[in-house]
Order: sequence, then structure tokens, then C-alpha cells
Amino acid sequence: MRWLTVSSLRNKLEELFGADLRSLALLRMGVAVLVLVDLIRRARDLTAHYTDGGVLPRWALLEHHYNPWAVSVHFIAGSWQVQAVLFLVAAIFGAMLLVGYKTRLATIFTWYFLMSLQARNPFVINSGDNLLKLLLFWGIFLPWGEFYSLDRVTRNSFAVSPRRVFSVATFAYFMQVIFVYLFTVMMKTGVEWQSDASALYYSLHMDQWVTSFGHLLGQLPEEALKFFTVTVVRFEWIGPFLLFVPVFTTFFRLMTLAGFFLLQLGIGLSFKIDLFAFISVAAMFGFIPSWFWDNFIYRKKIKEDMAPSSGSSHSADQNHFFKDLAVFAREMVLIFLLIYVFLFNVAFLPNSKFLFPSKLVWIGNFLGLGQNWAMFCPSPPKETGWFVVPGRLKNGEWVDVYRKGAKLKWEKPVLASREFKNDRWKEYIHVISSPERQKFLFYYGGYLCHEWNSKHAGSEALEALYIYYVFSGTLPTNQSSPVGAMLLWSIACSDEGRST
Amino acid sequence: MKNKFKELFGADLRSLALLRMAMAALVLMDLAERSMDIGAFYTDAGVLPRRALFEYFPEPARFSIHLISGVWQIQAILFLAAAIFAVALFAGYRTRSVSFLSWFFLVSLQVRNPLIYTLGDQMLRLMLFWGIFLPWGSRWSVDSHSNPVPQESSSHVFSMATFAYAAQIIFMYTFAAYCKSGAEWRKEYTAVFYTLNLDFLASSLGNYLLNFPSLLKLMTFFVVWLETLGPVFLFFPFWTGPIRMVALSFFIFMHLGIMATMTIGFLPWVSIAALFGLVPSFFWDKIIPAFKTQPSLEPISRSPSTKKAFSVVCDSFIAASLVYSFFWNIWVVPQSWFKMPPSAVWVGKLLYLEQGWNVFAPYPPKEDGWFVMPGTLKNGESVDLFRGGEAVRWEKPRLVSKEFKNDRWAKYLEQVNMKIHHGLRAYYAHYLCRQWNSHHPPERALRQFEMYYMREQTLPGLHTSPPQKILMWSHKCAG
Repeated sequence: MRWLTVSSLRNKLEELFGADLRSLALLRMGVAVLVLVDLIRRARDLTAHYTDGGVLPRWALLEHHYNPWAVSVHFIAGSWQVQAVLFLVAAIFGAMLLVGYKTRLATIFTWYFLMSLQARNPFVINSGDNLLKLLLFWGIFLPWGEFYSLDRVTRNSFAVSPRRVFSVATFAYFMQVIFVYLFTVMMKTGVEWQSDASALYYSLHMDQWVTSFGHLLGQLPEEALKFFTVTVVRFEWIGPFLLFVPVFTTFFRLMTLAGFFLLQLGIGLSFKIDLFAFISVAAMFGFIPSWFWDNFIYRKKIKEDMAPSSGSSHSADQNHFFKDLAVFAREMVLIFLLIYVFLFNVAFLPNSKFLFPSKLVWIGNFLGLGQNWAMFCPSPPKETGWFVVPGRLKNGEWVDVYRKGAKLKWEKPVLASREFKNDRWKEYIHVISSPERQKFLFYYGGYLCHEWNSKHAGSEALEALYIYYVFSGTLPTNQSSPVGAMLLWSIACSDEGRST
Repeated sequence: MKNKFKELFGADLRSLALLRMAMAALVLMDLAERSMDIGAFYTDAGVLPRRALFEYFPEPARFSIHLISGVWQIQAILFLAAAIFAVALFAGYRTRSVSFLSWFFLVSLQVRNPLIYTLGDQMLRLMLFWGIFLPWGSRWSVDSHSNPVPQESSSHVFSMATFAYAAQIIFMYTFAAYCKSGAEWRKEYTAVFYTLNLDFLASSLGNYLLNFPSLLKLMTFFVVWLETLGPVFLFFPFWTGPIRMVALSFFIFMHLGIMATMTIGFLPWVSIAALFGLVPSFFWDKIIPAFKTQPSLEPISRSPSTKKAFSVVCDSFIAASLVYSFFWNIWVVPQSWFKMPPSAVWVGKLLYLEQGWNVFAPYPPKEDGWFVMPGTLKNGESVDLFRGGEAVRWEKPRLVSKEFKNDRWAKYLEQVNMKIHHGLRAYYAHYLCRQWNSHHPPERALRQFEMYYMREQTLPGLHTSPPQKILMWSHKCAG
């Protein structure tokens, strides 16, 4: 056997940081499906979120949230027609990625279109979206089209392809995924996560983020929630290392993956954060060890074509030198980018002495490598918030514009997460209610006026509206404090808020 | 009768190939010229950042790939991509695709900065649009050499596309003539006089011609009647070839005259090149018989039924676009009876079929002027920013049109001088501060400056009113 000649250390490293091509293919398909689902879900708010007639016209973004190195194709036009075409094109590339047709090309375009879409409206995205984008970026360099793909079918020789690969790309992909957990746990420095372990209690009482299941979970006895909090923190610390145990690697890997799956299942069942849990689960597909495929999925298959190999043993032509050179250059770039990403994360750590060199920030902006995994860090917020938007009609009546003209109600809703049209809207409302984003309320107010007045006329027309952020603090005793309301913005609708 | 129609509104493949190469060359010329000012006109650090564009020209239906970024590096890549496609168009390599891409990039470029948009741009863009559908890659192209399909008939073709192209030329001259309704064009024949009095346009020859008023009257007469009757002779049903050659010569002569007397960018070049597709077979067969023996190649085979179905869809699209363009022209002429329904306007915006040919119409403007921008430096020195830091002089320059860096800048200043674009002067002022301060040592840093427009009115006869000093903007540089 060929690979007896390499040292066993290298062998082990390959086992630890190499990936099974079938797992990578599963990763590819998972990512592609999520991209498609994401597009379909986003398409519901095509006009509101991605056109000049929506809540974030292009000029608003350029004026108040300028990122010169974000190169977004979604800026080419402000009409829904052109945006729809772009969505369609992105979906075509996503479908190509799913079936593995011209995989490398499809990956590049899917990545670019996702990055571009996220840059068009950075206020509706969450950490899961960022992870999906990063997976696609590293995926460009992964051989994830080798299995379960049209590319494989159309290639004439697929009998001798290896089952496992080890490269800088697989390593970078693994590191990217564990950075998520390692850096998020390192940022969980609040007492709620550490000494008094009340973080889960507070998280599950942020009603705008929880499902009804999560709401129920929040009613569990204090001791149980404390136990879960401690378990989560410990697992986020240990889990990433358990993925790379040099002995009984497969066993530990499978157990740890199961652990991560359970963690994400818990998050997905309790919290409403769009596709976050799904993306996090799919992100781990590439970790699935070969054993899973060889002994579990393909148990009856003949063993002989299982010859694992990692090197590229094909083609020995004259261009060999240049090919090697190109591979070497690519790996160097990948190593640089991996270090870049690592340092980028380090810079966000609390009490970090390291300041990211400002001259290099453009690379991260340009390639969409920026990341910050501070989720409920350093401690979960202790507040539930939602919007109430009283509007005065021409006939003097007051209605809640946010709730399609319902009667004004200031009490805390049963479950605040139901007060948002969908998770993207919730993310948006959350972002613009923060003090430094108040300028964007102007556009939101204008949008609400326009929406209302395009459906109501005459005495029912809206004259003015007042955007209130209504909140209620979480007390440690399973109760919530009295409701407070803060006027964020008011706008007269006669000019429809369209003039700038 | 039917044959005659096809002869009149068809085209010779060699002429179309010439048209293709000329258009590609013009696109390259345009790109080369514009690339001198990438930083100024196409980036967020220039005179029209994207947010200013969105604010002053809110056109959500228009698209521009140049909006994807505001940094010059990305713009440079886009310029390069456009140039590559134009070279491919010139060579006739994958002609149909690169025609589309060249059009796409040209539209994008024009939408990115409407302030420097000229009539020549409009002409070039429309020619590329119809070119997408023309068989202009059938001759003198890489495509025809690498993929030769013997052609059954002559080199004369007729299709919906050739008809649309011919119609576009007719629209241009007919509507231009129709719009020139002022007495200056129709009765007094003083239009050329007033036009050449526009100092920012007149070349030195144009300036000199002002001394010959009766010659200018003759020229006015010639222009108006050529634009009115010329199209008839271009499509004359008898002796078509020779008569068309004569008509073409007249038009080319007119455009050469405009080129010699005015500095209006590449409009005359585009106008001449746009006529190339009309060159009759007569020219190639009789006048340049060398080309007669050219092997007949026709890569567009029309046999399979799927292709036929596709060509029906294509033809319908071309026909619809043509009809739409016609009505757009009707809409924009003064005192029109027709109004484009608001729900249909976006089509013209999206495909950028928008057009209007009212140049110097109904009569040429009768006022013009020049710019003086006195600024104070940190060391107390006073300089003219408009003239790259020369001493401030208030008297009229010898030749105003020479004062501008190029035609695009002349257009830009004309636009920014308009009242509706008042707010855009702030961006220009910022740009001037940045430019000056990045090229000069701190002790010569620019403190503040004013922009003045020296307005002058053209009176009948050889007189002009004394110039009026108009303050456009006054600015204090930051920092």
C-alpha cells in the first residue's frame, strides 16, 4: 500500500485535519440547500429590504453606513425587477452548487451573490448568515464537488478518485468552524455565563428571540437552567478540541458531532433566529469521519476501491512545475487568510491588547471575511423589546401602524417574538432601535407612511406617526419589570418621508 | 414592391461589419478618454459620489454595474472588462455575446454619471442596442472565419433588426429637424451664428467663421434642409444605391463641418459611423470592386425550427422596442399630443431606449460664459483653481472651449452650473479642495475659494453684452 511509506505522524495529521470527500459533498449540498431556502425566504421582502422604495434605499446605506470595499452587485439598480433578476441568478448558481455542476464556478458565484446580497442590506443579517457566507468562501478551495455531483458523473474516470483529502483548505475550513465556538465562549465573560450561571434564564426571557418552546423552557426551575448554562459553556470550550483527539479519533469525533447537533437542536427549538441553527448544523457536515460512510452508509460495498489516498498522483506532464507553483501560491494565500481571520477574531476578544492593523481591514471587507461571534456576549441582554407605532389619521383617530391599524396596546405581548413579520424584519427592527442607527428610522418611518397611504386614502390617510420602542426588563424572579416606552422618531406623513 | 422595401431597409453585410468595427473603435475611444477621469467622475471620492447620484437622479429602474463599488480600483477593472469586450467586438469574436456585453457596460457607464452625458453617448448606446440583433459579425470577423457556413443568397440581408437600425437613423434626423422650430432655424437662419457664439463649444475655426454672417446663414439653411429631406434620399426608391451614396456624402460633410467648428465630444464621429451600415452594396460592388470576390459567408443558419421560433421571439422584441422608441420620440418633442403612460416608462429606463434629438432646439441658447475660481492659499497667495493655480484673471479668455480639461469636463461644468444641480456644487468644491491639497505642500494648502460664472449674452449682430459676474458657490476647505 502506498501510504505506508509516509510517516505515521503525517498519517495521523491527515486523519485529524483531512476530510472525507463524501462529507464535503454533503457539506456542499447542505450549504446549497440553505442558500436556496434563504433566497426564497428573503424574496418575501424583496421590495421592503432590497429596493430604493423600501426601508433601506441605496443612498441611505452609502450616507450612513459606508463601506467602500463592499462590492455589491445588488447596488446596480433600485427597482424590484432588477433585484428579482439578481435573486433568480443567485438561485440558479445555488442550484448548480446543489447538483454539483461546474462546482468551482458555482461556488464562487454563489459566494459572491450571497456576500453581495448581505452587503445590500447589512441590517437584516445574523451570525448564521455570516457563517454561511464564510463556508462558501472556504468552499471555493475545497474539493466538495468530487462526490454526489454532476461533475463526477460527466468526468470519464471516477473509479480511482481518493476518498479523503488533506490540504490547507480542509484545515482552514475546520478552523473556521471551531473559531465560531471558541471565540464565542471566550467572549462569554459576564457573571451570568460564569459564576451565577443565569445566562440561559435571561436568554430565554428575551421574548423577542424565543419560540413558545423556549418560553416554556424558561419556566424551568432555576437549578435546571443553571445546569444547562454550565453545560453549554463547558461544551463550547471542550467540543472543538474533542473533534481532534488523536486516539479513538472516529469515536470522539462522532460523539462530539452528536453533542454539537444536540446543542444546535436546543438553540433551534428555543430561539427564532432565522436559519442560524440549520446553518450551524450544516457547517459541521464536513467533519463527518470516513467511518460513517464506509461502515454505516456503504456497509455492503466492496472494500477494494476504498484505497484512500491524499496526494495528487495524476498527471506528470511538463506543466507539472507550474501546477505545483500555482498550488503552492494558493496554499500560501489560504494560510495568510486563515491567520488573518484568526487575528480578526482575536481583536474582538474582551481585554484584547491586540489591535487589528487598520491598513489590512479592507481585505476582510473585500472578501467578506470579517467576523465577530459575540452572541449573547459578554452577557445576554436583560430586556424584551418591541415596536409600537401610533399613527394619527386625518380623521383624528389613532391606530397602531405597526400592527396594520389595530388598536393601540402598550402591555407586554404574550410572546414578543410573534410581534414581527419574520426574523429578517425582527433583525432589522433590532438594529435600527439601537441609538447609533437612529438615522435609519427616518427611512423606516417613510416606508410605513408610504405603505399605509398606498392602501388608505381620504380621512383614513396617515398624517403623522411616532415610532416607540417598548421594553420590559427581565427580573431574576421569573417576572418582568413594568413596561417602559421610548419615542425613537416621529415623522409627518404629508411628504411621505421620501424627501431627503 | 416587397423586394424594393427589402432593398431599402435591408443592409449589406459588409457595411454592417464596417458599422460594427466603427462602433467598437468608438467604444474604445470613449473608454480611453473617460479613463483619464476615473477618480473624478466614477468614484465616491469624485464629483458625483453614488449617494449624490441617487439623491439627484433617483432612477431606480436604471441599472449600472459601475454602482457595485465606489473605489477607483474596481472601476478600473470594469473599464478594462468593457475594453476587452470592445476589442472582441471589433474582431468579431463571439459577436452576439460581446455586442450585448458592450451595450451592457456602455449603459452602465452612462448611468453612473449622467452629468457628463452627451448626445454622442445616446447615439452610440442606441447603435449598440440595435447592433445586438444585427448580423454585423457575418463579415470580416473571427466568427466568420472559425465557423464558416456557406450562404445561399447575396450579401444583402433584410431582417427586423436592419429595419430597426434604419428606422433609428431616420428618427434621429427627422426628430432633430422637427424640433428645430425656432425662427432662428426656419426664418432668420441665424441659428448657426448663435451656436458658434457659444464660447464653450466653438473651436478656433468656428470662432473665425463668425466674421462671415451670410455664410453662417447658408450653413443654417443647409443643416435644416438636409436633416429634413436627407432621410428621404437615404431611402429613395429609385437609383437607390447612387442616390444614397450622395445623401451619405452630404451627411458626412455636415458632420465633418460640425467637427471642425465645434468641440462637442465625439458626437460627429458617432454620427458619421452610425451611417456606415447604410452604405449600399453598390459601393462595395461598383466602387470598391476588390471586395466583390469576397467569399460569401453567412454563419447564421435559419433552418432548425427551434431557431425559427427563437427568431420570431427576437423579431417581436425588436419590433416592440422600435415601436416603443418611436413613441418615446413623439413623447419628448415639444407640445406633443402623446404622453407615455407612467406604467410603461420603466421599460425605456431599464433598456435605456430613452432618446431625444432636440439639439439646439427649438433654437440655440443665447447665453454662455466662462468660469473663474479664485482661491486663497494658506500663505496668502491667490490662485485660480479652474486654471490649475494660475493668477486670477477676470477678462474673457481667448478661446473659452480650450479652458476645459476635456469635453466631459465642459459638459460637467455646464450641468453643475444649472440651478437644479446647485447642491452638487458642494461635491465639486470638496473634490477641488482634496485635489489641490494632495498635490501641493501644506504651506500652499487651499483655505477657501469661490466659483464664479461669467455670464455673457449674445445679441443679434456681432455684439455681446458685458459679462455678469455670478457667484456659484463659496467654500471653505476642511482641515
